[in-house]
Amino acid sequence: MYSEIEETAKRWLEADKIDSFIGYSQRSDGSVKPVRITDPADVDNLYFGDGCVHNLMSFIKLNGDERIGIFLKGCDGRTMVQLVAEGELDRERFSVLGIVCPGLEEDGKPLPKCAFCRVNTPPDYDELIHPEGVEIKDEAIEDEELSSINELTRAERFKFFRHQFDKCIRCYACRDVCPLCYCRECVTEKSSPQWVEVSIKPSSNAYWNLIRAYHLAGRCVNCGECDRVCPVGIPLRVINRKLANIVENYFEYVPGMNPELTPAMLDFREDDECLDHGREGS
Amino acid sequence: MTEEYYPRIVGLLCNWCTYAGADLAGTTRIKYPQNIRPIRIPCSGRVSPHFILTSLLSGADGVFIGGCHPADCHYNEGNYYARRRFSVLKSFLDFVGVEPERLTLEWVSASEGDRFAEVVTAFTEDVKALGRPNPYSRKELED
Repeated sequence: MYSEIEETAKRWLEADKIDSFIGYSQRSDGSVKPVRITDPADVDNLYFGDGCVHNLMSFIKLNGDERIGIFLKGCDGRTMVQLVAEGELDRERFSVLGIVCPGLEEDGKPLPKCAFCRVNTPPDYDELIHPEGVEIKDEAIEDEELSSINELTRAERFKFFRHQFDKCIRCYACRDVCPLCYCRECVTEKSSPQWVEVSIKPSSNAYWNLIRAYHLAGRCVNCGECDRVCPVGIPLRVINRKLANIVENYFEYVPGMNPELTPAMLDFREDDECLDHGREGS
Repeated sequence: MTEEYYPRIVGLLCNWCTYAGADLAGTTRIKYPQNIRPIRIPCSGRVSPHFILTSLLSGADGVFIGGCHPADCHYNEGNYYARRRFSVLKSFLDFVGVEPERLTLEWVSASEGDRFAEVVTAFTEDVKALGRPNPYSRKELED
């Protein structure tokens, strides 16, 4: 469908511009898997279409000197920009083949992350595929899933989230799949002090879910991978989206758009007006 | 349950300003509610979200963070970072069901013993007015 992917991967591999190319491939049953290709003869396996939901930035090593060619949708492209902005990634190692993403569907319906997608084109790419009839999006769209939770009263929201967090089995799939969760030692593995209890119970589940979300404040690009892998269906993408909105409202910072910009939570302004503590003292 | 609701408040007070301010409030014998349990920390910028979440889970009804006034931080910028982090965490906790009245970040300098008493009193009243324990305490979640 997109012969440009095959052509570009082949051209880059043959010119020894890259050591490997990471893209999607379709299995015989129609499902999609991420692939890493090192031989130019294999490029005809490359594919893009419905089912290409994975964020391919989850499949790279942050360190090392392998030169990687990678195929990125808008959300995945933002992940790369955010990693560069945080100083975790050497952009020089990467050759990016971007696509103006038409949005992905599942069972004939757009995926939630695509329905409320804000940026469908990687902000930083070396070559870009622009399928005919697909418009470049760059405007915030109201997330209806989030709005429906926002409209609840605080007590209802508590009830809702309590139920959601109760379901958690602490498999940490959300953490493992997240391309921006790159701490070598996760807080859940620290025992001195042990902030997150190991046992699975409502309190430690709530703690884990809150701290996971907060760690991604001003960083999450809403690729929706955590949401996809969650085996018990906690609406992680919506929680992350809420934090993204909070950070944007306060600091006018949208993650993954500009690698030169200091991430919001690593930065401050002397005249930040975010705080509503404003109790007038003497 | 005829007892009056007696909230327990964790106070994370910056060593250089608010803790000294609290000390001054004490030495000048200004009265303020005893609900606050002060913990001395090096800087309001030292406040990790873990401190706040752990306090709430462990049953604190409110968390009071005290730091130096903007531009007066002993480490120049710790309170600016604290302000950003705290604001985001507070808004997020509001989203998941924690009343915003339970969290506050105040600027109290070492010479403002009277202001310390004032903000702690007002904060304690706010938390007391909620009249119920914090929903994310371990006890509430697991009962």
